[in-house]
Amino acid sequence: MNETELTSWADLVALGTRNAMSGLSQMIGRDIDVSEFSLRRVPVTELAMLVGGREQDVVGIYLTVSGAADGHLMLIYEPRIAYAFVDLLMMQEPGTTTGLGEMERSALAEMGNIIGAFFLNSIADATGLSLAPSPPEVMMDMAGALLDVVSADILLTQDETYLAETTFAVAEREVSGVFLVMPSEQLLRTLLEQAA
Amino acid sequence: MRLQSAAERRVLNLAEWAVTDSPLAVLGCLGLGSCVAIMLHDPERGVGGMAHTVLPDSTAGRPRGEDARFVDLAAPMLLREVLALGAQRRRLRAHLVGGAQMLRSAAMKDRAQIGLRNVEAAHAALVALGLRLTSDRTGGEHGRTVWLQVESGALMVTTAGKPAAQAAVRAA
Repeated sequence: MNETELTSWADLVALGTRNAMSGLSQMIGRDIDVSEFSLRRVPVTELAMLVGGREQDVVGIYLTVSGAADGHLMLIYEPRIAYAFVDLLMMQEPGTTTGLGEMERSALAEMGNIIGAFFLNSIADATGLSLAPSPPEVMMDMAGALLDVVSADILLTQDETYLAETTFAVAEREVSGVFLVMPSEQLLRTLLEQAA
Repeated sequence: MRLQSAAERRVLNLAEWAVTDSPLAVLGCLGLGSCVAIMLHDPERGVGGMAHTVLPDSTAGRPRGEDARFVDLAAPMLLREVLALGAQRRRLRAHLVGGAQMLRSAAMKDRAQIGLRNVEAAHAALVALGLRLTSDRTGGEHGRTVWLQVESGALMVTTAGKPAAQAAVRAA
């Protein structure tokens, strides 16, 4: 991918991410601050390093992208942050949620739905492509185990993946998370052709 | 790669593998989800090997060099390498750890099968190589970490969400 293509992709993902964060903000009725947005190519083996190593306990909300091309979307939180988000989503006092039952998983899945739909809709609007998110899967496990789901898919044909990483925080609450977008090479090519 | 020096604790990332006859070596795979750690150990010779496999079948993908990403290629390679370090085939103990089903929803059914397919491929590969499985800690719905102590052949497996390490398998 050359510089122009990278910029073009960065613009698309930034647009999608802004839209996704705006959807999340509407959902929880609070402002969201994006503190970091980065775009790079990383070895698949290093994905777990982004979230504290393979043994780190994390909560992941995972969606696949299908339609014109495929890719992966994943939100990753420390468990205490995921609990704090559940409290926000369910309009509970901070500290109410201490584990993930069916209700809590459902709330987080809804958060995945909103972020996935807002993200993909804005990219679809900008490119005219039809891209659909899968129903979200909520997992709580070791980071390495969660990321195996994505890694196996990518390692089938590649060693590296393009990665858009967004770190965001909710205003007035000490909660922040990481939103990862990993397009397949095919999706990237399709997006760039459409955007050109 | 082959490990040479002593006192080593070596963590194998996705698709990495190692064999060693160093008595102080401890080989590990951290946070295995659908991935499967294949281990071969000769307790008499004190030779051990581990491969962090990711996918069942190299014919479905694009094999790269001599890495351990595909079960069907990694298992014979691991055998070849432990034999090269002096292990005896008839003494070899084989262990499998990992292959969990991380995804549960119906919509993710195809992707969810990857752990199971890895385990099936590992079983088939070991049978094809004439190796008997000594321990099998595969399947389930949670991630695992495994350490193999090369001198004793002791295997230590921890599962996500469970506080203590589970019973070690003694090779002696």
